[in-house]
Amino acid sequence: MTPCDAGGGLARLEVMGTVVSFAIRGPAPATLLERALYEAVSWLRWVDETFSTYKSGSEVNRFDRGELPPSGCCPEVRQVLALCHQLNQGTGGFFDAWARGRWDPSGVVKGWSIDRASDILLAHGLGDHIVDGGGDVRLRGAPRPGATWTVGVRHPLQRDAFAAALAVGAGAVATSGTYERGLHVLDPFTGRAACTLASVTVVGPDLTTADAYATAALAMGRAAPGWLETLDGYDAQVTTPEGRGWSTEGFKRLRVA
Amino acid sequence: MRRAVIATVGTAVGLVLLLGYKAGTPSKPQEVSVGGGAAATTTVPGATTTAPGSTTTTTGGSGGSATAGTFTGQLVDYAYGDLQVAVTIKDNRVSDVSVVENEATDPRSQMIDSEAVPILQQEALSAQGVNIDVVSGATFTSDAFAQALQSALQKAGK
Repeated sequence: MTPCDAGGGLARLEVMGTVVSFAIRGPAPATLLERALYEAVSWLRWVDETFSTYKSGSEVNRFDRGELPPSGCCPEVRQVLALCHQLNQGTGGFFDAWARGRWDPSGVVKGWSIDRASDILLAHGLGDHIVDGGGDVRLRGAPRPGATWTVGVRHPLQRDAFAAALAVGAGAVATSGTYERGLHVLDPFTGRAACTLASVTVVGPDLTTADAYATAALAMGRAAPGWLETLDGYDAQVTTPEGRGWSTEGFKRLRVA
Repeated sequence: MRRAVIATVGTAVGLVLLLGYKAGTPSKPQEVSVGGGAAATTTVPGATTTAPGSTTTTTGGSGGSATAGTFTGQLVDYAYGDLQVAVTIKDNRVSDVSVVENEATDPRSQMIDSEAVPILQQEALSAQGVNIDVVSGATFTSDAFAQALQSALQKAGK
């Protein structure tokens, strides 16, 4: 075993239509890093195969077409199905995996699978890391002893600005916006693309929920701040296409810039 | 449109992990391929690179004072191209960050880079060498930018 500094322990994977990158800090043997990353990467690739709505033979598509009963699905698909129902209820219906006329759990699967990938690294003793799924991030531990992770939040309107820089000890930061993927979030009650807000950033303990809440808030539009304020353990920032911003008091406390 | 993107990246699932060694230990990065199944041998050309001997964290400029001038960091490969930045130090502060080279190899990445890179530059300026570890809401380039910037700052002695 070669001792090495994991400060350079970076890895990147194209999966689920995005790029997932890992940054692992703290001293760790190279073989351990390799084993842990192999497991995390294999997990994400399995998730991609199983939950893809683009691959016709995926388990999610077979279930959606009625070829598989719920009992015939693997435990992970059943778990994600349950999460979709829970998050639909927890967001007053604004997070809706059925909004497009079929079951599309993609809005849960990315955050959930990244949370699980982070769990895999932790199970290997790699407690200081970031897993970044296309700008939605799960963080654990610290970048170095005594320090705190710093997360920049991209400004949705100004190409040369940040909307915030946050000190995040551990947890998740998810941003849902209309600027990079276009108007891709539907208001499930009107069936129209959500366009009242430019972006929503949610900070919380896990990415599964933070990501779904950010998506739901984007769909809510003007009602989002009132709802976000009621959430326990989650803080948020909202920006409008006119360049106005709103954030919870807790979000303001996380700001370093 | 999203279907087309998936078709493009779905066939090229691959991963290269490079482990940078601490200064003082052998300085060549060790290249380790990670993957499973048939795609294990599929490596995206120039997928991920850590500059030899570099680490991705900075101590935030405690102690060391930087020399005035402009310092160009190493060329950093990332999933979609190459990135190189230069920092200008004046009065012991970062007064400018410029992208010397940003060659993205696919059109989608170029589009994203044209947005993400200027934002990351702005942050380097406002943070004056305090590292942003990750960017929420910007995809693909933040690691590469952090590495490229770190490399330039190291040359500046910042």
